Amino acid sequence: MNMTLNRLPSITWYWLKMNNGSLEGVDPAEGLAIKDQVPANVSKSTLSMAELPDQPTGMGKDMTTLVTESKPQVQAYISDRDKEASDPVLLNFDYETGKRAVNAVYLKAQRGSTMTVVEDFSSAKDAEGFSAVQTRYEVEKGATLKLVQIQRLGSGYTFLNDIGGRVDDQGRIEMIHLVLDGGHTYLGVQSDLAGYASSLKADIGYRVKGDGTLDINYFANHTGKKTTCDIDAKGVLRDNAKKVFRGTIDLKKGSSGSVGNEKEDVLMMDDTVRNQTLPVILCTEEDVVGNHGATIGRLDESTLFYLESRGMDKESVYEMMADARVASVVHLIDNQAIRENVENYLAQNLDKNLNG
Amino acid sequence: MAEKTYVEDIDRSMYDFRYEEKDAYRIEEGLDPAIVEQISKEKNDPRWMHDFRMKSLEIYNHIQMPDWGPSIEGLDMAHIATYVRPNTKMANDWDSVPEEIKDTFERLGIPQAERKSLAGVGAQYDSELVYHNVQDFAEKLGVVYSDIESALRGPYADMIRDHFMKLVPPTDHKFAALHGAVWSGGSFVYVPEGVHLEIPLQSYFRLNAKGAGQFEHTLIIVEDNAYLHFIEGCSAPKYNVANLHAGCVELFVGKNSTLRYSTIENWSKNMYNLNTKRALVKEGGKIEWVSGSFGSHVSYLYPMSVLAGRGASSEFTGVTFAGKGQNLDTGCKVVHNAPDTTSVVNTRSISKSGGISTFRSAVVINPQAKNSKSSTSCQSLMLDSESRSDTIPAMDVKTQQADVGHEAKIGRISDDAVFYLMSRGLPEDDARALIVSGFADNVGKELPLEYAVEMNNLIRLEMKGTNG
Amino acid sequence: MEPLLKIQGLSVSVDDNEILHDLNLTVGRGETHVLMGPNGAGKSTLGNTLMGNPHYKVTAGTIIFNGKDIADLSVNERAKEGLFMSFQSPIEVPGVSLSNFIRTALEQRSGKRIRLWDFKKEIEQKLKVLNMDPSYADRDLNVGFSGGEKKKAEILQLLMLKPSLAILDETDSGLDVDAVRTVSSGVKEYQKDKDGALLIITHSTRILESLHVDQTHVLVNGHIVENGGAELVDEINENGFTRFEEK
Repeated sequence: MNMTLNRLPSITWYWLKMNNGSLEGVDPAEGLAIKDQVPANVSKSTLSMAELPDQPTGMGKDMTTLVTESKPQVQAYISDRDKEASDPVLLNFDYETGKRAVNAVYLKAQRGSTMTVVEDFSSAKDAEGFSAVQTRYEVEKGATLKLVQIQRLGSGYTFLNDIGGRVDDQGRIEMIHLVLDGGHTYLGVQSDLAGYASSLKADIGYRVKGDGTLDINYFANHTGKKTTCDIDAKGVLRDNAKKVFRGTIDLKKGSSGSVGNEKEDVLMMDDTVRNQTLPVILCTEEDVVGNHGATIGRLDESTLFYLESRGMDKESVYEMMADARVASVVHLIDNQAIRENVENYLAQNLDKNLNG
Repeated sequence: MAEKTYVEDIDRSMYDFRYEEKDAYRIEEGLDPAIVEQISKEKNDPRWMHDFRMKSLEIYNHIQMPDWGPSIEGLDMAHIATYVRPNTKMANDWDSVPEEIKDTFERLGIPQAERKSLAGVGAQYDSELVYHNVQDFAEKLGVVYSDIESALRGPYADMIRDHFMKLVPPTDHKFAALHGAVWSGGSFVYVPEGVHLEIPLQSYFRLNAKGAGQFEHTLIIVEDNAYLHFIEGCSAPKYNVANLHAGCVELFVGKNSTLRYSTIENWSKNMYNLNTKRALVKEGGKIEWVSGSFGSHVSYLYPMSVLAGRGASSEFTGVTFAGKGQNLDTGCKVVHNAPDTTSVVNTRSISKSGGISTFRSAVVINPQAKNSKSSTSCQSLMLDSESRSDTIPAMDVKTQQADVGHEAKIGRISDDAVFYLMSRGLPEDDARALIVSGFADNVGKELPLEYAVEMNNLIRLEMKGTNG
Repeated sequence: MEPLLKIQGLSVSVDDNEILHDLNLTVGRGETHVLMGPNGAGKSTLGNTLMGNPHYKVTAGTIIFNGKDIADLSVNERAKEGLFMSFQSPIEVPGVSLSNFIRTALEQRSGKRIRLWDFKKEIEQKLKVLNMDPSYADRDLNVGFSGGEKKKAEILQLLMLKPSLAILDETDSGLDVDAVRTVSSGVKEYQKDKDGALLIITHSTRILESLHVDQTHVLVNGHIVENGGAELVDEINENGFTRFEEK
């Protein structure tokens, strides 16, 4: 099938060619065996796609069609009511080269519980292949779900990372997406903030190099009262990287008292990169606050001056700031073991190419 | 609920057409060449213009309608001919002008003499005198300010031909193509090298020229090292029975020159305002857009700046007020095509009583635009929960050597601010109106005083709710 | 002996406006100089120009530092030569810890890896001198720091980087009494350690109370209108700048 992916909820001029991403010739495929570690207070089960509640996702209908047609065993992880899961649920997606895999995951944080789920997508450095994962979530009243996604895929991998979920009263969803290595990555996230005082915190840290591409569609759908969202995307682009970030905050009528914040910070390292940004705010409710800001391009003069005045040459300043951007998002990972794992990976896989 | 326009009874069969192809879409929405031929003949077009119109018509019949913006289903596209037929349009008499339009004239204090011409019911009015005075002054400096149709045959004929619809080609979008085919009337301004015109030229003076401004074409050429301020429109509502305005403005700014283009648009609330404005700025040149959009039922308006020479810059200051029954899709576009170019965008938008305001923009920094800077700041004010305010900005950066910043905010009138003003004796309505005027100050302070005063009057009118 | 810093006939413009006109100033090794003047005199302009801020254009004159004409040296090259400026508004750098940053800067300068143990010991000692909690070392550079904390972090860098000439740009502005005292101790420590020279740019004199001042220069409207000794500081304390503004 030919897929339309990550389409903007509210499109704009066609000549910009930024309304959505697309992929041709994609066929359903079997899923890979996810290696998981399940802590106490979380129960694991398998479901079929039909058993899942209807939920629109960031990537769009075509992705849901692809996943449904692939007939995956949906891995479901549900936390016990009113319990805080002591350790994170670890899901390792170990992709091989030359393969295709489509998986589906369902996460549910039951009433009053707290659960952290880590989805670790990895493969060999120069692996090539195709993988798609759709993660649906549900956060019940008063619960908190933290989703940490770490992507370290080969430069030949096309990866469709689709998320969609709903948050109930006083519920909270926190997401950290780290796109550290990959080929052509698509990330689509829709969060329905339907419950009273439900909230979303999303941090995206990415680095794209070589001929890699990154296509992101983030959608915060505020329908409940006093809902909040904080979306922060920081990244570094070098070589011939291309990236598009579509971030939509929709403050729908009835969402009075809500606040939506969105920020993007893109550091462009080389002249051959291309950055596209569309920070969108849609609003049909009077009693709300919406903010978005974007900073794109090179380091600003005053920062460069300040750091150079301490003796660093321009290139080193840029490398330091590039590392800092991603590091600041890694820093947000609660779990020490996982955080250190990523920090070690970064230390050993410096983004700066051997070719400079 | 489609709105039907008032048009004279005509034998429509004359405008039915047949095509060999089975393309139903074309048959419904196409425009008959016969009409365009007639327009061209009536205007006594030079040959090239006649051919240009016909070519534009062909393009028009082939392009799709836009589907990404406000609905224009209220436009009777099936009978598009009736909008463009020469000598159509005007309501025949003052009595058929809607009450609310006459009401607005009253409230805005428009002199009796001007009302009829603003309502499109003909009769020249004394602005002719003012217009001629300005003309004399400008002429002494070598500045040409005339209507564009007659200029097609004067000493500037070749210059116009070299520039006409080169910046906004008919292929740009459907209504640019329509414009290319049926354009009528408009201004031509030429500022020679080194001339600084101190007084602003105003299109208002030429409001009652033939064509009623519907498909008006404005072409301004400013040579190097010159300065011009051109003011288009006025705050009084311009009413027209045939409710489509598909105008086009093309501005050419020479090296190190500055052109300030100010507009207060207040088309009446039945109008579809599908306007295209574009400026091409040469080395060291500067275009300043000052834009207040208040009227029309539906607007598509995105003045665009193409920064073509090193160091060229663009500044856009705008305010859009969408009230009841209005869907205003406005914004701006900037394309950086040369190094050291700068663009600044500062807009405010207000939505009230079910109005829909969409800020739509594009900033494109092409690879050769090294060391370019662009910053956008857009703020939106929601006055109630029936209205809508959307912000859809796009940035496409193709070089590392650029600094692009963007910020947008949306919110409501602060209760504290209202309380404070009321505690100083202002009634609530006035307090809110004052706050909104202050919010629109980004444009207010860029306009000549009389326009700013008119703009604030307009705001007060909209806020007080009597304008519905 | 060659002076450390010799400025001759310096004129500086910002955005085509000339701010400094024909300045002459000499600072010897280990000396403490004070540059005072009313607001808007152009004091920060001088500091920024010496450091090489691209925003400021030298339109005339020369700056010889360490025997070299530094006009063509980039900002970081000047830092390597031994120039340091404590910023009036230090920039926040999220994701980079204060200690990592200093270590990186030191390694850049020397071209060698710094031994972690020695480094930690030294930075802890300096933090103590500045009355700063050891945890500051791990915090992201300037992020969420109060005004006073930012200034102290600047002095910490001064102490760790050990330049031969430190330009303190309004370092005591916005600080409370205790903070000023702490900053002064830090500055004294710097001088002791390194026999460093100081160019203190300020419009108030609090920070100078515990320092030995070698020379004072008064800057008004971009011109140095008077040079003198420490007594000028006292005079300005008493009478303000009126006498100099009339010049």
